[in-house]
Amino acid sequence: MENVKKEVFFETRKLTKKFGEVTAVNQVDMQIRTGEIRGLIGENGSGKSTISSMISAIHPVSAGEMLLHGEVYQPRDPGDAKAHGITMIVQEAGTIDGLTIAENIFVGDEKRFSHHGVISRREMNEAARAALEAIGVTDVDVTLPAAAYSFETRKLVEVAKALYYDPVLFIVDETTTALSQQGREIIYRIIHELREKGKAVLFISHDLEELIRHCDVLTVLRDGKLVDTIEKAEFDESRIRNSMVGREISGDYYRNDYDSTHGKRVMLCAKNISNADLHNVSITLHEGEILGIAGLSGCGMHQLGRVLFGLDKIREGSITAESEDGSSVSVKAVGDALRCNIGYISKDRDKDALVLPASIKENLVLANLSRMGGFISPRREREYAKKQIDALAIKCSSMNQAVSELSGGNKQKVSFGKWIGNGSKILIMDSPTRGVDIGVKTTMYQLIARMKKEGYAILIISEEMPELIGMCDEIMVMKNGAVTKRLKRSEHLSEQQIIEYMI
Amino acid sequence: MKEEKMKPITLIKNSRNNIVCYGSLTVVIVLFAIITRGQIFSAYNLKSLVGQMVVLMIISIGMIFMFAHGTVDIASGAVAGLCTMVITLVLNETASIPLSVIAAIVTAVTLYLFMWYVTAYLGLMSIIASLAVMFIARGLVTYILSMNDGRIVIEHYDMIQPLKSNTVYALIVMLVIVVVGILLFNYTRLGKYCKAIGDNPVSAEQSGARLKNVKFWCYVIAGCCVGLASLFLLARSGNVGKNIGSGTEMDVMVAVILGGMNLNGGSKSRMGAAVSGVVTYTLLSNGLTIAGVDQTYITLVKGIIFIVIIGMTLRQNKSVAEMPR
Repeated sequence: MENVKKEVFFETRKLTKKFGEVTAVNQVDMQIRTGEIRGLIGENGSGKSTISSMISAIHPVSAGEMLLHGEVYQPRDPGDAKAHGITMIVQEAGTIDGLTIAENIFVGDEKRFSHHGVISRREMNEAARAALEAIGVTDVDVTLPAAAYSFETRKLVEVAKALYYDPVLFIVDETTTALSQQGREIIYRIIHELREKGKAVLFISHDLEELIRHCDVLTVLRDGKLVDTIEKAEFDESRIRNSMVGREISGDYYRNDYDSTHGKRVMLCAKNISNADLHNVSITLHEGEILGIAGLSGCGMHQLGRVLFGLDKIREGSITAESEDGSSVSVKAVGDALRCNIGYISKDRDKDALVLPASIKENLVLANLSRMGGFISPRREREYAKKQIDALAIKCSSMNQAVSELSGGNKQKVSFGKWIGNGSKILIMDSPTRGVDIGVKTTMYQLIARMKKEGYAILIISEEMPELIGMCDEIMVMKNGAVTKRLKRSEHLSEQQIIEYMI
Repeated sequence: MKEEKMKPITLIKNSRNNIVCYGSLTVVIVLFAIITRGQIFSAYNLKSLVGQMVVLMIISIGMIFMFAHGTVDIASGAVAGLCTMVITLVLNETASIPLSVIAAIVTAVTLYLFMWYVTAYLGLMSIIASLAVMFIARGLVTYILSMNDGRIVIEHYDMIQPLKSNTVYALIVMLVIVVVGILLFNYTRLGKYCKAIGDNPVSAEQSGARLKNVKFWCYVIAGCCVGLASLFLLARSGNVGKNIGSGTEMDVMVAVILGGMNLNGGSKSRMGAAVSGVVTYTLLSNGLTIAGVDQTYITLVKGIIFIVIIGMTLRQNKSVAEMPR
């Protein structure tokens, strides 16, 4: 692979992007060489996705220029970028449900199969099959609608579509986070193949380990500026982290103690619960305990969180918690959960947890309304919101700013603040640090550790094993809706030990 | 946090709804003050304005609760029509205004709760449910009229006539309804849940709002307003005809849009939209008549002015591209 000559073929010069008042990308000079996997890393809002959208012509450039093979490159639209050999796969779903797989692969380019104005479906299907085979996917029927396949398969269809045009630059924008290990492996294989063919890959991800493993060069962005470019030989996790955040990350990332003791009082107790997704699951959550739940995405752990908050019904078993007045309550609906001071941070922040168009204040107050009495005075609302904003250091222009305008990390803080502020003592957190950058992650972990000391009972449901190992007193591993193993906190606990019981 | 450092542009952006809300009102006031050379504000005309807006105002206040939580209701006119008939019948029997008003409110609330039930438990789209109720109410009016030779005489019209001639009643009722509406909508759990549901029902539910329960009360409020408004509707029209109240639902929609309401509901919903919208809309109709616009094309002119005002004030700011993630 070293026989492919590496030369700069793509360049940005003082590339800048402004969204109204905000400068998302600020004078970035970047060079990409052939036969290279270039990682792009930075906190949320650092401009990673904006750069890739400019290269693939989703957003127009505000200032500066891009050069491709030494010539000025000014794509009009994504189709034009594709014609220049630049294709991209994005984080969100990029396929259209109602169209067949073949139609999805050639959407916008149907002319290719046109004979006197009639599109040859047979030719299109064949070409689609060939495109999928080229990336090693053979078990997809290209005549079925995209909706018939899983998210993961549809992502692979997008990959096939992107690669069909034999790109010189292939952009992978935070795609891997949504995929399973298997899907990720396919992407890794493809980008390495492209690299060996002398093409270039721009690989955007939040997952530092993944970038370190697969990239040749890493570009670190912070606040829209390019702050560091690191060659593979110099990869060092703490250096990368520090340049991302722009300061030494103070304190510990995860908890540093291995003290897994907790209070005696049982805060939440589920006995032998079963429903369509769960089989005979029992949980006891104590005061001051952090309990983790690990598993693969379909193992029922997310449903467990919903059930414990009264969102989903159970068929058998019981869930009990103590209400404010000390009586024991059976949790059957959200109302019961709220009476028992249970809070729930949903996995899908934007769709489930927050009311995006509403203000920060309105979101924070929402979970506390049942405790604010008949007449809710604006002053009390303001005081309540201000307290949470200050306590969690939510970055915002005012408490009346719409939550949709906040960065991912600050949104998550609002979502935390909703439940911490209303006096919840039991917190069910589903993927609490999903899509959150390292700076905010650190804050979250410190917050969770502090809450343990203050006697909160915390249940963390997460697909990120290092997080569970780093934070939890006990980890319950789930598989096919049942608990397969309970592991105590220890220095020697490894991901392998957990994975063993997951699959 | 840093409120004092807010830039003027952000200030305009944040208060856009307020600008829409009172912008169109100001435009209409200034426009007609000039065209009618101030006649529109004569004591006599002000009185007639109050009379003209009372029905629309009461219904619009109730409808804000529906729009805010994401329901578009088109049955209000037909239900109000049916209620005028109920009032007439009960009044003819008992000669008691309180009893007949209570009967009207019960009728309206029953129909609205029927809509609520169909939407909440049978999972039908709310607008379809309200379409059905509109036909039911309209059909009942036509049927009962046909049994009474097409006309029902109000035997005690003298009892409700003062509601038309004396604007004090209309003013007091409007004031009370507006104040109660604002209190409920802005300062109680119900109003806040209602707005949250309009934006994101999933999040509202996870934050403790019981969706069916909140919607139940919204429908009850809307029903009460429609029932009460029908009393004024009857007083103004003097008899129950086949088309009584028809078109009111559209007037309500136009009025609240003029007031800056987003019909999708959500956190940007405001009671002020009903108040300022109804005033604007009434001024618009009244002003055109006073300005001497021929009745034959007054609706056409209204339509054009409506689109112009909306175009000036309610521009969607699509120019600001959305930030990626």
